[in-house]
Amino acid sequence: MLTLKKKNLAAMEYIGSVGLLIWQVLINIRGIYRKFDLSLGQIYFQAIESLSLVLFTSLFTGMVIAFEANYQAANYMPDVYVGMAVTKAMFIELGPVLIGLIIAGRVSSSIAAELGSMKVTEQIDALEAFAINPIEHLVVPRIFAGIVVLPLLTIVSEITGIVGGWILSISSLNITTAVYWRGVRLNYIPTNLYGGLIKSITFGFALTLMGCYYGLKAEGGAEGVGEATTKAVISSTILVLFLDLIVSRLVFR
Amino acid sequence: MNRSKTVKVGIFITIILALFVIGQLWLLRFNVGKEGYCLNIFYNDVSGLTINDPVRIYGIKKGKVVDMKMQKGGVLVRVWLENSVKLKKDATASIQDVAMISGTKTVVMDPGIADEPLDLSRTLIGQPNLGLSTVEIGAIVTKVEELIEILKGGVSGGTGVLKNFQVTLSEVEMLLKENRAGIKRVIARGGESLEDSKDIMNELSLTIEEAKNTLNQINSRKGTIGKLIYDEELYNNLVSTSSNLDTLLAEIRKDPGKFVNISVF
Repeated sequence: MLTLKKKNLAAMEYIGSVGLLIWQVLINIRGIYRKFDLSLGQIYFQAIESLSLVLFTSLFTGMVIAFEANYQAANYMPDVYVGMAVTKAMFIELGPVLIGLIIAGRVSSSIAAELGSMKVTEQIDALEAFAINPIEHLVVPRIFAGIVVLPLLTIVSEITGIVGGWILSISSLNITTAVYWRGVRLNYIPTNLYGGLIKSITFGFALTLMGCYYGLKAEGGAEGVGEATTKAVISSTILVLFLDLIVSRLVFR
Repeated sequence: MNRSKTVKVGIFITIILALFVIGQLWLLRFNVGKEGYCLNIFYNDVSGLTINDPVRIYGIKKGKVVDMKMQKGGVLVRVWLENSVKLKKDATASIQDVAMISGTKTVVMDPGIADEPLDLSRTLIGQPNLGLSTVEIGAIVTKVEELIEILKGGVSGGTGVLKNFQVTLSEVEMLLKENRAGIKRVIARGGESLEDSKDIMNELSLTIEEAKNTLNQINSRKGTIGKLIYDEELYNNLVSTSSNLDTLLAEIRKDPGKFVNISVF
């Protein structure tokens, strides 16, 4: 009974501290233009340095969707639906979620490690000593970059995935270029694309927030930093999937 | 942050945004550089037509659906058509299926052959969709299946009835064979009777004709019976005579000697 009470208290403490961090971010986001240089640095880190990983995974994802759509439906569906299947899958689900998970693994962990190291080496305390707000200086640029970068990388992923599907279709599935691209445009609903981008914005916010939260909470040296990194990745991954469900329910109905 | 990184970020964002805009325009079939005009078509039922669905003329894509609005009794569909499409007064527009599985629709237009051009400011009344939707086909298939089941049940249940009917037929055939001579006689007699009854019928019709004439004469108050029936004076006289006769008979009963005198010698 006591353990349950402690767990509940710990859960409330967790929700409360995350809520407080969100509140501090919202308060300090007005000063983003003052830290624009830092934000650009974060965009470069999160987007440009993740680009090759995004291109590679998305290309193969598109290929797999095309192959499996053809494998499952080739006997009773026209070839034109392969293009449609790849496009809809990339727009609605795989584009944003795949990028969310990749960035959760790459960026959230990186942010947690970076801020955790600063925390355990008392660099954040030093910033405060110099009257520099660590939320405005460290957290807001990262979260802002996440919100900007995720939709951009999602667009890259979607285009790359569709191109991957096309490459596989013409090389292995005996589907002509014209038929494939006609399928891409078939039954296109703008909500599919925008819904996916809304997802990616929420993912960008959530996974950078988790990286920052666990980084700022890190304590106890290198071990604490490692623990913070792991927790950041796990919580970001869970949040990405949870938000995927929530946004899907809200947008696609 | 150094300048090269800033430039890279700038290039990255610009390229992605450009790709996004171009891709979106391509997906929405936005007609860049093509000039056209819009036409309103009213349909009672658009059968699943959506915005951006193509408009085809003789099978060639020449436009698209740009807007749809609910109106009283139907839907007002606004289509964009290329300038090369010259619609005449007798132009028609219907909605047809492109693919049944996906439910994709298209507006199929016939530009018409009349001399007068179509007044584009007026709303064209769309022709109803004569095709069947997947749902309708499903409902028909279900009913056909039900019918087949009923027929199957009827055939299997009716096998006994058919056998009984066959036995009855064979018995009837046997009876006919056994009584062929008698049946022939009956038919021959029937023929004779029919001949006789023909003469009777002629005589009867003559009698009826005569009776009709007699009745006509009575109705026109001709002849004795006619006068007897319709002459009121004769009736009154008869009544008066009858009354006098009654009085006379009463008096005779009372005093017969007054009227009858019998003498022997």
